[in-house]
Amino acid sequence: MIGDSTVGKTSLINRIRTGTFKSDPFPTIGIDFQTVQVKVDNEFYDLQLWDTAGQERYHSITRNYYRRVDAICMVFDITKEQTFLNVRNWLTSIEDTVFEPIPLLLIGNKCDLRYINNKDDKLSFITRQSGIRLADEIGPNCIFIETSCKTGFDVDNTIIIATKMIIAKQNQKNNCKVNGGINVTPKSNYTKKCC
Amino acid sequence: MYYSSSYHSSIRVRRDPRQPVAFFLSNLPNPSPLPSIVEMPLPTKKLTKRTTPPPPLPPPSLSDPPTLQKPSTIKLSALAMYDDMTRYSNSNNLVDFNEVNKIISLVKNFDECRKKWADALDTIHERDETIVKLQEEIHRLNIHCESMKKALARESKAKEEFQKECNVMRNKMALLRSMVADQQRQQNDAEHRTSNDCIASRYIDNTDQSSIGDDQTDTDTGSLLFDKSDDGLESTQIKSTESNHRFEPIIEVNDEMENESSESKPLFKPKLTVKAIRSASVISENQQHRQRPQPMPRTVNLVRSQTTKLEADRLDSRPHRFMEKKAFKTLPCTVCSVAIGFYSSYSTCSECRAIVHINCRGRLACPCLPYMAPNTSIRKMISLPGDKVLSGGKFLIIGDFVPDLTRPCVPAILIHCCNEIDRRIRQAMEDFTTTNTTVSVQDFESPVVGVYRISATDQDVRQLRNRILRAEHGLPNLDRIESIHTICGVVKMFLRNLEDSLVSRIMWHNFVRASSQINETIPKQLAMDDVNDDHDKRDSGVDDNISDHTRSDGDGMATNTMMNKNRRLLVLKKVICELPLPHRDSLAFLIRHLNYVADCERVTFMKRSALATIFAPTIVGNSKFCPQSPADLQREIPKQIMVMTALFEIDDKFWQQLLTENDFSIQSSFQENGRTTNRLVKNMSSTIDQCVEQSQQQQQQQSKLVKKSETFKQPSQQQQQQQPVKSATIKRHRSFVENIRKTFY
Repeated sequence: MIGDSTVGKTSLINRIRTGTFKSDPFPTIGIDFQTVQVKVDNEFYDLQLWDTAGQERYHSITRNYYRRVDAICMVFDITKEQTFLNVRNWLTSIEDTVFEPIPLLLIGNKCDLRYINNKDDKLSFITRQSGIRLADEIGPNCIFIETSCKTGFDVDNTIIIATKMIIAKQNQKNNCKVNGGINVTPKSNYTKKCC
Repeated sequence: MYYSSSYHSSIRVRRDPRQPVAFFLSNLPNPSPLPSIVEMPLPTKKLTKRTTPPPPLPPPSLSDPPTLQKPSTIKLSALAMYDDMTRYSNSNNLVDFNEVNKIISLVKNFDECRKKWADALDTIHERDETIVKLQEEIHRLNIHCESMKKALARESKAKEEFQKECNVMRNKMALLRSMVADQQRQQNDAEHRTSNDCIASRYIDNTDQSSIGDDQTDTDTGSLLFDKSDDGLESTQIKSTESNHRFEPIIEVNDEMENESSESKPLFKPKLTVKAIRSASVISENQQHRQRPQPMPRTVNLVRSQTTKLEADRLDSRPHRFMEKKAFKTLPCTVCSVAIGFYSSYSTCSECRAIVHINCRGRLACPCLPYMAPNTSIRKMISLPGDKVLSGGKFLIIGDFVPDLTRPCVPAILIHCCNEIDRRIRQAMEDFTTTNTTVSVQDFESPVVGVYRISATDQDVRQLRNRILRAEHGLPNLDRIESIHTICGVVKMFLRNLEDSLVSRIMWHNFVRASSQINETIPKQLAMDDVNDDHDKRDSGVDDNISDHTRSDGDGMATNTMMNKNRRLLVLKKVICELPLPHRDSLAFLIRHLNYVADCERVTFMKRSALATIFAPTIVGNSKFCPQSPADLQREIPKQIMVMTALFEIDDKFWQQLLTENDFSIQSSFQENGRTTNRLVKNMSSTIDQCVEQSQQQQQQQSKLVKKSETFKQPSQQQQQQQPVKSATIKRHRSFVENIRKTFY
């Protein structure tokens, strides 16, 4: 899970894990991870959710964890344009470290604020369309989702989609391996994911 | 078309006057065959005519010729002509196509001609406009020229005046020189005449005490003997040693003037000071040998005060030094970035090179920081593309961003950004206090929420940083930067890009060791603070804490830990004082700034712990220069945060002293700490006294209690003694009662 500071990466993981929302959490130090069990298609999967620090100074550390990761969630804050603009920077840093295409989730967080404040038209928000457009631009392996950690909107959906994407990718890989003559059936449903 | 128009007009004309309407009517349907012959060329004509506007002048001249050309000889009416035509057409006598073609071409010609006329008119209009414009420009230029001429006249007049002044001054100087020369000669003559041996011997004794010991006696004594006077010697010496100085003759003259007014003996000192100022750092050996030992310390003092020029207001409100100038080329104003008009006067600061309109003076950002030519490391930082640290090249150290010889050694970029952030926070605080009554804390939205934590757009930050670093004419106006986070980003990026962090890597382990000891002493307190979200208590100073603890705990334990903590803080302070000057000052400045940010937690929502986490890797940095594995980096983070929290522990006074006191060394800090320890000892002793008193009181109480118990014991003993008596009486009573019962039954 990567993205600028204060977009809600830690909150998102907390929401997924505990189903609660804690306002004003502490800035993440370096890197942190949580394990979550997800049920998809009547099977249980263990996901490791890696939480990274958004502060620029920690990038040198967090960048090392992109490798050997099954999926990446890029989080931005729909109320702050600059976080959306910085998504491209994150993308380049992913491309620098990860060479094969991996499932990407573009998450527009804090979408509850849109429904609250939009009446006033005070704040300009990143629209859903622009998010989808960016996701399309990035490639076919990228999906755009809007979530809200405060209300829990679409949070569970996000994790399920992520899991499905990972499974699809692994199946693809396995098929390749089958064609190559080596049949490896994954016994454990263990998957790893960087969030 | 002209056919048709003429035809219609002919109809109108013809219908009114006379006869053969029937004939006309019978002929009217006839035009049907006409098109077959005539209309072929007609439509094109019509089209071309319709598109072009009907010309103002020519219609009569145009319409006449085609219709009248042929019939002019016959002189028939239009109707007759038409009749002829129809007759021709009816009788299949074809119209002479050559004629028609000729007419068509003619008409076309006319058309073209008219087009050309229109074009010509257009061009004439354009020309007129350009002429007007050019005339305006000429007018403007004329005005300009006149103003220039006036300015030139003014300047030349000023120049003449200056020239005159200069001449006068030169004359004066020449006069003075001649006077001095005369006097010298007189003095020399006088000395020669009197040949006062005692003065000479005294002089030699005074001046050459040191030089006699050295090998330079020859030249010095030679010159001395030649001049035979203090003043002469000095002047010649100055001439010989420092003739490369530009203002030397003037200073010399001044000296001599002073010499005139006063005696020769005390004159030695001012001259030395002049020398010391001129060659501040490099005191030529010649001088050292020559000069008497007495004035030496003074020169040293001068040198020192020059090398560490302390300007305490460098951080807050150092005033600008404005000069007025005339603009000869268009320059943008530093404040409002509107160009300064030609030959209008503007102000420029002689130190920071800011260029402003005279009206904008007041709005120029205040601490005036002298301009610093971009050196290699500034250039390198500007060229830094992103977070990647370039290998090779010059090492980026914070010292390279501070001009030499200034004392609060804080880079201008830091001072300006932090001051701007401070200002905005202050503003937010004011807004907060004013709106506090209506808006609850949760809903309050200030622009400074999450200062330093929220990241800004990378590109903006880099742009602003480069603008500040590259600024030639004063620092750009930060008021105009909309988002505070961009400014914060500049601060963070600047610190991040330094290759040696503020806590220098050489001292890294010292810092960790010092701060770990501090954190050992305050884990409980920290935990308490974290729980209560109450960080102000820690910051409120030593005395409060002591009093708090003595009040709450009431025994010597708390003060003991406080003692430990202070002793350990003292160790940390000592380590801080050992840091290189730029590192130390910048660290002090930054910590004070961050303390302020944390103090305004109501608007910024930033706690000290959060700030510590954010700034730990930037300020404290890593322990090694060589790149480390991510695991190692990760392992060092808690230590960094620990150091940061320890730095936040140190009271504000210490930082302030670091920044404002001239020679704030470890000794003075020790003195300071000694004072605090003294205070602590006093506190300790007082608490001990209290304890002793308490124990005495307790003893007294105990003794009282003992007495009381003794007093209580006595009645109980009495009671015990009384008990058998009582039991006996009860027995007696019982026996008595039984006796009575027996007697009754």
